[in-house]
Amino acid sequence: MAGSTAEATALARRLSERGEDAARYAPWFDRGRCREALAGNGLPRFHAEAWRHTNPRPWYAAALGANGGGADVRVQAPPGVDVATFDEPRAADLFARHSGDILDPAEHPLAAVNGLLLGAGVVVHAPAGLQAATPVRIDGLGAAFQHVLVVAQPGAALTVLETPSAFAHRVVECVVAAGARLTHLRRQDASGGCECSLVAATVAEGGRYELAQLSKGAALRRNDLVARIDGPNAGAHIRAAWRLDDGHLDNQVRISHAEGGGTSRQTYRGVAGGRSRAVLNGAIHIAPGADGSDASLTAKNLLTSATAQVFAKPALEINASDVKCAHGATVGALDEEAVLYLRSRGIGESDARDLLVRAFLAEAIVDEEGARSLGLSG
Amino acid sequence: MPSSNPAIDALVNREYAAGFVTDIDAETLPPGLDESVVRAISAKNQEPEWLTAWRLDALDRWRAMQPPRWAHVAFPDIDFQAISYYSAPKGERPKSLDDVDPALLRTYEKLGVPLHERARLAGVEAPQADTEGLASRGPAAPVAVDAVFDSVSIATTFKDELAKAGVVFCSISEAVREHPDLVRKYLGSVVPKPDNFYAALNSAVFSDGSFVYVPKHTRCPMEVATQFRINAENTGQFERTLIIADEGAYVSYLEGCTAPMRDENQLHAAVVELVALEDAEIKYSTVQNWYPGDEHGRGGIYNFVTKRGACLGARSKISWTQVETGSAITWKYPSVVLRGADSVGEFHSVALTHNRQQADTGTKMIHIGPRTKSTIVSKGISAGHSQNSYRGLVRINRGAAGARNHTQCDSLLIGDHCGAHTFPYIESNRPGAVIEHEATTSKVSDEQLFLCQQRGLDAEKAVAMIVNGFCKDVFRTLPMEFAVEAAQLLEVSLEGAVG
Repeated sequence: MAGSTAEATALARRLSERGEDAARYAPWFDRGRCREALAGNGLPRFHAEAWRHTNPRPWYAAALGANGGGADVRVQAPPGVDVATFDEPRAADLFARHSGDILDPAEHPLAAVNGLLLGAGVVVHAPAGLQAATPVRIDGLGAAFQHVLVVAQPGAALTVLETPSAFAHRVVECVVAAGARLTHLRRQDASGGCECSLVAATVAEGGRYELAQLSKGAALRRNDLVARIDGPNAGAHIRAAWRLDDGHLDNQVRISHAEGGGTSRQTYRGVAGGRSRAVLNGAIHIAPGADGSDASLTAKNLLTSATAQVFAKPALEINASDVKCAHGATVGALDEEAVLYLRSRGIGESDARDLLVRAFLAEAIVDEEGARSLGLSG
Repeated sequence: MPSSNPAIDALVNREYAAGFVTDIDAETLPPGLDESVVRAISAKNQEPEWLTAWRLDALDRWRAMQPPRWAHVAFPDIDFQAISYYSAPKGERPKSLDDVDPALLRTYEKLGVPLHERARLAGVEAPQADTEGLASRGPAAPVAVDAVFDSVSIATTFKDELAKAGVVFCSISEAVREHPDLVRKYLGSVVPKPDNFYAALNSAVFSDGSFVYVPKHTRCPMEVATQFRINAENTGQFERTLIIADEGAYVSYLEGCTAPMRDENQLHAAVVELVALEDAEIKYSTVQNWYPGDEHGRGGIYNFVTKRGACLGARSKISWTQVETGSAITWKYPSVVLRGADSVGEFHSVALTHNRQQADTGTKMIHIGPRTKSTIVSKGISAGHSQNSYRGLVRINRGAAGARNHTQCDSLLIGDHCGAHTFPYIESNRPGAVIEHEATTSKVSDEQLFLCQQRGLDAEKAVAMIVNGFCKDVFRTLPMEFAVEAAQLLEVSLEGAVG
């Protein structure tokens, strides 16, 4: 796979040259694993299954030029939540104790690149039982390659908000312990850059991970999400909405039920207009023996322009028999009768369409501020 | 699977009914594939030069290709030089039914497909399955059959009667000689030589298969069918089927297949091309019952098949119905390219896997013309240690204004060691086109079984009944002869799945 494009080759060469130089930041971070993964699998190329509709070349070019150092960390946390940047000594300890096995650089080559070029990292730690009053805000981490580890200890309740900020690649690792609850809000603004990210979450017995992600397009925006249900009554609820006037958005989601008795819900609503391209792969994986799992996915897309494209692939991989699994996906257009209905009541055409788009996206949007970020105010 | 019920055990140990070998002198090419093999096959079929060149070009392209690895199946690499690419019963090709070796006639008799020109019900010489509701479809109609034994067509029935209506039904090698213009125009037009690894292989070495041409404004007076039989050891079967329905024509085509029980895997790599011109309709039904291997996964057919139809004309329609119960591994995606305005594509499928079988099957609907419509109904049933995947593509191209698709994929799991997977690809490039996809997964629940057993049905019958209900939407689209056969096959294939 490696070396299929000049950019990928150049990036691979730069990665092998970096060596000790990059390892000055958080020297305890395991870069060997990342290097091994890249040496073994190389970088992904366009049209490989996971990159069927997204050409990674522009990202390689951007990653080559990205600035590595100079961390300007802007993170706000409510009282009781411990925030440690990777250059603080206790971060290494927290990382060693909590960073899990869900993040396999061999499966996620861009995360392996991130590991080798890592320039900023932060651990957000909510101790057992803590009920955080306000969200942890991540407004920026400075460097191009970033790693965030969020730990919600047993019984803790925490909200993390990622506001729009520039990066080449960001890894967000979420560890939700037994009975804990983590609400993860992500906002992604329109951008002319190439931004890729990977969210990797594990949810223990009785825990709950909730993601609400709102995106506009970028020159290249790719969001990978892997979540693993590790115990009974654990839940993962994913809501993602996007409204693209232009640009490229690729969401790749894989929820795996490793243990039985868990629940997962995925709700996607997308509007693609202009010359945009929206890609969604949403997979549900049920491991052998994970009986009693309950998983569902719905993805609805609107295509509002003749030059926009929608690619959706909801997948089910079921290896246990006593499960409830379903998925549904649609691609369509705004109901012209509904537009007419609103217009006949004195609402202008563009307002009518806006109202209908807003209603369409509403199911996947959890808060008013989020709605505003997609240009759906009022 | 162990069972406490001796009646179930007895059923489990019942053999694959079509698993016998016909002892017949065969002329078989030595294993291996190179230019000389391709030339030898071409010479045996007395083919014109253009076709020999066409095959050699396909061989060149195949050599440069890699086998597909994306399917959700696992098997050791195939040694393509260890396979023999041609095997045929010895002697002159029979000129008429009277010349056919009685041993071959007995073979087809035993398979329930007697090669005589009398009205019959294919596969239901002794109907036992629940045929209620099917009887109302009217009396048995004659079916014209082309019998393909290993690499050659040995007989085609009702040819004269079909010819009266202007319908051409013969083996593809005969069509190359008798109707070269039609063959040359359409061969490879739907599935081009380098379409995929197995299609390229088939294009190089295909030996026989069926050819159907239905002229303008003609409704084919009877169902036409091909019965494929692999008999020889260590050979592959590479048939090629081409069906052309001219403007306003209609044809219903049935396909059946069986093979002996052997511990080695055998390769079957067919290509089927359908062409529907303006207002034409082709209905293609398959009951696939290749030997599936034993309960430990030993032996069985590798069924790697490319089937595709092109709705070239406006308002044309192609519908695929498949019941897949056999084969160790199935890799098959009967597709429709909807080019003509208002053309319609349909895919109805029941795929059952048991023991160690693996199936990765589904369809592709490519919407090119305006207001094209497609419907996909897929029912997957997994039992034992099997893996069953639906893989489908619905693509709406920019010109397909007002296109419409609906897809329904349901999986049924029986037992704890099997897998059921769904990989639908949805691609839309046209605002206003509507695509809907839904999929569910369920199991035969203890409550359902209990309810049936309470009413005096044994577990095996109860499962068969539940599975039949699950598949009803698809069976309804099969011609009567096949619907009965399909229901029986499912029952037999599921033996031992509960206990």
